[in-house]
Amino acid sequence: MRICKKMFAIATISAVFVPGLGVAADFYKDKVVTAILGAGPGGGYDLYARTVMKHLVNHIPGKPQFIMQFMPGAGGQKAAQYFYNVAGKDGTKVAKLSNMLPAFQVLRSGVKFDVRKLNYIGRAASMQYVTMVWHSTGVKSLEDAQKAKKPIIFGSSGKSQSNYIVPAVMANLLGLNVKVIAGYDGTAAINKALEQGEVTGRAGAWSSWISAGRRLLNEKKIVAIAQSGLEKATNIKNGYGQPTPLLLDLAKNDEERAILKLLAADAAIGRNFSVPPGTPASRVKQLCRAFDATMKDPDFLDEAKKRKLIVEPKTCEWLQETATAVVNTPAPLVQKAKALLGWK
Amino acid sequence: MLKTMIKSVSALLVLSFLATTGARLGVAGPLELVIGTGGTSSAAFIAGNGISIASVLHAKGIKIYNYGTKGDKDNIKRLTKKKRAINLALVSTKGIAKASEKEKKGMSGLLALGNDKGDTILLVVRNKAPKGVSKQDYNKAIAEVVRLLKDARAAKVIRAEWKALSVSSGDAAFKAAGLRRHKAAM
Repeated sequence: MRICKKMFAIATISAVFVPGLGVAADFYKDKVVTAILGAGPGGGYDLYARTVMKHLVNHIPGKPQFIMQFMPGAGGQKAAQYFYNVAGKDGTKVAKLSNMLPAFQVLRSGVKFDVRKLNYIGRAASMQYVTMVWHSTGVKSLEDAQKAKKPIIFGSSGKSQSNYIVPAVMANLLGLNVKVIAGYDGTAAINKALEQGEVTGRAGAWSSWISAGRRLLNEKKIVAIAQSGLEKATNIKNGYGQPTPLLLDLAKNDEERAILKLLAADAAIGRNFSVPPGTPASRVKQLCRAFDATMKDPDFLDEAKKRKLIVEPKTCEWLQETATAVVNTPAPLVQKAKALLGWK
Repeated sequence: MLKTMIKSVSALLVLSFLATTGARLGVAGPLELVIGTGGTSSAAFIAGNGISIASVLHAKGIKIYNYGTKGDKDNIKRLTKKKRAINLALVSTKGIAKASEKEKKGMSGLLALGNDKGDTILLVVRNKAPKGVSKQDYNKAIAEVVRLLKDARAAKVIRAEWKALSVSSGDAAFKAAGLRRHKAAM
C-alpha cells in the first residue's frame, strides 16, 4: 500500500513538473492559438493556413481555438520579424511564414531573424514553381524557349518574389532570352496581363496554377516549359506532352547546381508552419506530432481535396534540416547568387 | 403492401428529418470577419488582437481576424474599395476626417473604443456584405460585434491586450466626421 502511495506521489509530481507530461497536455485547454500570416486574407497562404489550422487544433491536446492574424509586407519579412522578435513564445503563436525566408536570410541584408532558431512544426505542401508561357508565343518546351528569337516577357510582383527569381535564373544562369517586368499587384494581376498580351510568361506555384489559373490551363492558353524546386514532379507536362525539366538538372557544373539549389529551396520549404524561437521544447514536439497527425486526418484530406489544395507533408525535423542547409550555403556561392539576381 | 407503404413513409420521414437537420448544421459555421488595424506596434493592432481573441471566446456565430494594415488611410481604402476588402476597421478621428465623401458612403460608424495619443479610436464597418453573405446575416453579425464589445467578459479579454479600452457610442465623434452610424449600433 505504501509503495502504491509513493508511486502515485511520484507520478503526480512528474505530471506537474516534467515537461511534456501533464502540464503540456493541459496547457492548450481554453487557450486561443494565433496563426500569423505574412500575407493578406483571401490568397493561397490564407486558404492553406485556415484549412490546416482548422484541423490542427483538433489534434493538439486540450483542443484550443484559433484565430488568424494577417501581417503582409516586405515579401513576408514584416511578419517574420514580428514573429521572431515580438510574438509570445508560449506555444500559442503559430506562423505560416514565407517559404523564401531561408533564402532571404543569406541573400538580403538587414534581416532580423535566424530561421535556424525558428521551430518548424511541419510542411503541408511544397511550392513547386512552374514556368508557363502564353500559347501564342509558339513556345512549347524549354528547348523552344532556348531557340526563341523574341524574348519571353515575364510578369512579376517584385524583385524578392519567386516570380522574379525563376525567370532571372533562366536568363542569367541558363542564358534564355527572357525579360522580367516587376511591379504587378499579385498573381491575379499578372494573369490578367498574360491574357491582355502585356506579358507572355509567369512563373508561379503549381498549386496556384491549378486553383486560380485552372481556367487558363483547361483552355490550353498556357504551356508549362520548366519547373523549379529540389525534386521533379513527373505530372507536369510541356506542350509536347513530355515531362517538364527541373531547372536544377540543367546546371552545367557543381557551382551552378549549388546556386540553383539555394534559389530553388523555397519550393521545398513550401507551405510551412512554425512557432517562435524560445518556445518550450515539449510544446514544439507536441505541435510537430499534432501536425503529422493532421496531415493524415481523413477530414483534413477531404477538405483539402474539396478546396483543390495539394498535400505533400514533411515533418518538422526534415523542414528544420532543409532550412538550416540553405542558411549554411558557403559565402562565395551566396555572392554569386546575389550577383545573378542583381541584389546588393 | 401495407408493410411496403409503412417502410416508404418511414424512409421519407427519416430523409426529411436528415435534410432539415443538415440545413441547420450547414449554417452553423461562424462568419469570419476581418478587422483592419495598423502597424504591429500601434494601439489599433494591439486592440485588434484583443478583439480577435475575445471573438472566439465570447461571440456567437462570428470570428474576427486581425489584419495589420498600414494605418488609417489604408484601412479606409480597404474598407471602401471593391477589392482588398476588410469588414471592420479601427480608425482614428483624424483619419476619418480625411476620408472622402465617396469613402464615407461606403462605411458606417459603430462605436468609439478608447483613446490613443489624444485621439479617439473608432470602430467602423463596411456597408457592403461579403460575397455569399446575405445583407440580413451581415447585419446580424455586425449586431453581434457591437454586443461583443459591450460584453464585460469580452472587455476583460481585450483589456488584457489593450488597457485603454473604454467603449462608448462615439456619437459626437462620428457626427463631427460626417459619418452615419450603423443601425446595429443604435
